[in-house]
Amino acid sequence: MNKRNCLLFAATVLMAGIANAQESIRLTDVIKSSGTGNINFFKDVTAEQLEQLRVDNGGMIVVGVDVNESANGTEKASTQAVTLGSLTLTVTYSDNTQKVYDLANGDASTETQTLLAEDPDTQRLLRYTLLGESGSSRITAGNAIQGAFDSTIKIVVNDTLFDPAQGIEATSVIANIAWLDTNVSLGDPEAFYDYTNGFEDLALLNAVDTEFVDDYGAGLDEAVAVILTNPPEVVDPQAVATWNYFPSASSYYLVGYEDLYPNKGDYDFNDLTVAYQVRYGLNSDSDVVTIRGTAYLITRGAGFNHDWHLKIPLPGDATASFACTTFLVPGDDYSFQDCSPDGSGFVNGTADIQVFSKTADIFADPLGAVMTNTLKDQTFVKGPKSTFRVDFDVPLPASSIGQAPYDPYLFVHNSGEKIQLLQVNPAFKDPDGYPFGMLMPVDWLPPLEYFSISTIYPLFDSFVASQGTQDVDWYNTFLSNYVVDAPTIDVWEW
Amino acid sequence: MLHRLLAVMFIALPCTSLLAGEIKGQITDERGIGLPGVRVCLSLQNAAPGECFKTRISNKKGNYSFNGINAGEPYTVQVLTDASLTARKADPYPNLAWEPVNYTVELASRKSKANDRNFTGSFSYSNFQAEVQLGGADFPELANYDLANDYVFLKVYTADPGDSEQNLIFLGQVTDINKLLIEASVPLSATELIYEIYSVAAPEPVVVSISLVNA
Repeated sequence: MNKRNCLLFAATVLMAGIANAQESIRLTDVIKSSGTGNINFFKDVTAEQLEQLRVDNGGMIVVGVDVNESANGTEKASTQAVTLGSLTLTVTYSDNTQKVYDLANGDASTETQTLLAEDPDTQRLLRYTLLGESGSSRITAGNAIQGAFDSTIKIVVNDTLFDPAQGIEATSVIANIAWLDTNVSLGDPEAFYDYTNGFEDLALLNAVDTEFVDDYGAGLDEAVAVILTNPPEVVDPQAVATWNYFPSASSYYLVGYEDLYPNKGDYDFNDLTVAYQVRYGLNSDSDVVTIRGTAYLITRGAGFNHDWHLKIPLPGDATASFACTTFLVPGDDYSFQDCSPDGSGFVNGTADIQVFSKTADIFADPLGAVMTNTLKDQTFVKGPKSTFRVDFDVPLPASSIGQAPYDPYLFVHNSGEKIQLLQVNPAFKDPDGYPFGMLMPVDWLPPLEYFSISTIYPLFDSFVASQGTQDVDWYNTFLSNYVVDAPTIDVWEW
Repeated sequence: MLHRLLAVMFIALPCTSLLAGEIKGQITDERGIGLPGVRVCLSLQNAAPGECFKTRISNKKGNYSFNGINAGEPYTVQVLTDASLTARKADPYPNLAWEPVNYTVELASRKSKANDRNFTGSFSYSNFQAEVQLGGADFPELANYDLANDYVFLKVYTADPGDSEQNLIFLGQVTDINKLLIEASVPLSATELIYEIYSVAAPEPVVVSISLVNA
């Protein structure tokens, strides 16, 4: 064959391959909210199509799963999971013979595993898991299947399903799948890997889509206690192996500010109230690969305009990339603004992230009031949310990073003043010892507008006058008609 | 050879002494009463947080001093806030904030002294959280596990008094005790840290509570 003919042959083979490639196919049947599914493949594919997919995947039927879970434990939109409890695949042939492939016999697997206890047991055994995410757009996805499906179940099927020359034809292929009922009373990891909400959409994948879904690893980055079924031969030092949460995976730091510094003003301590949570992504050497954070604006009882920063002390020679996004409207992923730091993001060995900018602009009362969430009878509205990440070029020891809750400070545009927590900088107090920035218990309720914290929390003055030695639980005694209506985590988190 | 070595030592010792200055100060509370037992950290510029060139502990009157300080080199002086579990338990002033936060000191000449680098401790009104660092030594049961071959997981959390909800701080596989470092920021109301260890070989979790008294 000469060179020209060779090229023509190759092109013909390639075209034939493209023409014959079986596309992935969405299935009608789903895993129901009960956590079980009776999946009849032949509602959507023929035996010939299924055989093409099996051969394409090297002798496996690959089921793509769109994980669809409600938040539980450390689950959130960016990472959620279910666990494979049982799976059988029953193939019935035209001669009425059957073959059964069973997870219990090692015929099925997923890309991830972990140790989990089944309800009501407490022993944690190795189980296959499926990870996913919701609400993100995958810009690298080449088709709708790649854009929607999160994880794969691989069922090894060594027997031919369709071969007319040999008289082989499967007439029915049914998968029975059940998610594991994890013992959520143990908290995480069982709460993370439970099933709630549902349902899960399924698809039969070809090899290209299988590779994409597996490589994309939806939800893998932030999942907890993951064991990779097929770990890389060389451990990636930038891969996150586990997470360290501040203050915890389910709670937040709550900070409040008075923005008239150095004047005490009405001292209602609601001028800006912010909740934030930070987590370190650690590699297998326990070094910090990435810092991630989430913050919410809760009250803005101010006529002034502010920026809210989080400053994290880092070693002077650290280098990293920063990203920060402020989501303005709950449930709307497309109403956002970029809050990534200008330049390198470092100032003299610290990361200074302007997490919220111009709070009066981004957190205005929807009915036009000057203040938001601090006026009597005002309907509480969920505030903007910012998420940020600092990805280090070289992993750092956790001990080289300043300690949480770091330096969360307020910059007041109208006065040009920067206000820090008294905990961070003891200079931020008035001559009588009253602070201008405080870390509060997360369930603290800010006073309504114009009511001094000293009035609404009668023990606060005693706490301050005693240098904090008396009435340390001052925040538990308050006038309930004069505080912001129930801004608890479940109200402002989204 | 011995004579040459002695000669070098004879020459070197006075030189070091001549180049050395002094940094001193006192640690007090807001009433001006000296606070003993406070650890003070002298660090080089651009050192990592908590990385001390030298440390001193204030005496009964709250005084501390660093001698042998080179001239012409910037140092930072600050009260050392060590968050390790052992240090937190030994810290007699876990709820104090220090003012100023630190001093930058650069001695102009070999005779210079910086004798007024004082720190005042006052209660941090906003300190509802305590920082704690946990290393491999804080989880002695890990020594009973085969970290290299079994999947050994560690889970660390606090539970608020009277509340069964767990506040998860850490959950992950442990592969090397010596590299393990967990940072925790726990509410002052929490009286204990709880950890669980489980593995493929020992699937029933070992559950242990660490007291946080004074932490």
